[in-house]
Amino acid sequence: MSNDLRESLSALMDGEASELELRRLMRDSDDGDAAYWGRLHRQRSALLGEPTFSGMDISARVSSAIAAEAPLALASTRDWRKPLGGFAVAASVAALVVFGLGGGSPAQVTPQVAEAPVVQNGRVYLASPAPSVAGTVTASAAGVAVPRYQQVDDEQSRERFERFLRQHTERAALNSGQGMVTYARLVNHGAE
Amino acid sequence: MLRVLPQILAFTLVASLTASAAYAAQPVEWLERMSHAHRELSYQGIVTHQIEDQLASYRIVHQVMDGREFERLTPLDSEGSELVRKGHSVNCVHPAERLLRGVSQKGDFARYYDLRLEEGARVAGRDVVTLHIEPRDVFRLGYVISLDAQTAIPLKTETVDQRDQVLERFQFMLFELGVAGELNQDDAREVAHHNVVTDQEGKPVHPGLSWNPGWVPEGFMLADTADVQSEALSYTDGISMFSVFMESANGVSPPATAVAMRSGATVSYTYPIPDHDLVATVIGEVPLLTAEQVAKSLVVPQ
Repeated sequence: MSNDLRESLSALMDGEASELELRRLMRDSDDGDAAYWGRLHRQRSALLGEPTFSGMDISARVSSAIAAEAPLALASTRDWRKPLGGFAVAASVAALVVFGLGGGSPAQVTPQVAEAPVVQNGRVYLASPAPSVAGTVTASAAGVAVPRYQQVDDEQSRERFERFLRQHTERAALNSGQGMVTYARLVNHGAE
Repeated sequence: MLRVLPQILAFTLVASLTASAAYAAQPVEWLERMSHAHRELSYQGIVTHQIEDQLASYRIVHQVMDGREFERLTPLDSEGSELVRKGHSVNCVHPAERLLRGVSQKGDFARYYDLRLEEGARVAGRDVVTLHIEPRDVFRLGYVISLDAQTAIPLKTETVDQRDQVLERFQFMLFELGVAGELNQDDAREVAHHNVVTDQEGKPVHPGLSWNPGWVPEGFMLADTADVQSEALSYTDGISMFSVFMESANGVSPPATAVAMRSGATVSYTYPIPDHDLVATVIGEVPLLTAEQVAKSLVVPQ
């Protein structure tokens, strides 16, 4: 394994990995890296005095479960694109990322990683949380390997996002020093 | 020697003019000019909006006639219809603009952002000065704005996160000053204009609403709450903006957990408040941390 990958893994562990690093990891990492990732976690658990699951590897089961799962609702821009009352612009927000945040204890926080719909080339888009919440949300970075996978009603969340984005933009366009250009945030990014 | 003297004089003159231009170019002064320049001049061009690896382009026309703004945004590579905004008075000053207009006198902006100026680049075939606006705390995003050196209109705007990664980019490919003819479009959609609040301006909470945030990052003030019925509040610190929306949980089948979403520079954080049958959503161009903390700080009546 290259030192770069190793550094990226350890940055990911600390919630410091950039989106680019994460993509490179997902593309280039092999079984050896997975084992290293497991060791990092076991070391941390040991340091924190948490129980460790040293011999357990659920990644294969999770991968097959994910493969068997139906695509998320937002994976299709066509399905949800019904007319919004009185709003003439086809508002398909580009590269939208959804992740549910667990309601209870931080240990169960397992943001889900939604694949960007229009790209469909296997890339995973992660929302990068602000550094100071990294402790709670980093689990998202490893979300693929976390079994507690909470389903969020994606279509509804997406509808809410777009409804409020529209209202927010109408309020913000005159308050950003940018003017009408910011309305581009609402308009379809050539999804079809 | 005598023949050289005029040349030396001319050179000195040019040099001193350049020097005085450089002296005038304080970052805050550029920021101040930017806050109103894009509204006061007529211009047109092709502008692109980029998120991740997706690019969309638009034709934009902005015309000022008799002190009123007319503006049109036409998508060039999607089916969406064009947007127009018309008749907005140039003298209608919105809160963020007011925050920025006084920026060189009041030091408030500098408490929250570091400003740095860079010269020598070009965008859309025009000379620009690049304004780096870097947040001093974790509650704001950063901006890299290339302003037209002649007019201070932003020709390129990059919104960057706390790790200096570009989240979103607006950039003119083509920019021309002046617009010939009159804007006229019958089937275009007109965008809403919200009245400026005056009585609540500068305050962190709105007395007309039953709920209010218990916390907003320092430097953010109410920007737009003309319509109390809409159950919404918007905040600005002059450059960044977020809005808080409250909806009744009845009929909207609220999410069981908090949901965060991101598109470009915009994040949303939806936070159910089951005890009161309410769902709060904070949305804006801020770090997720800010949206989350504002949502969790909301104070609702018993």
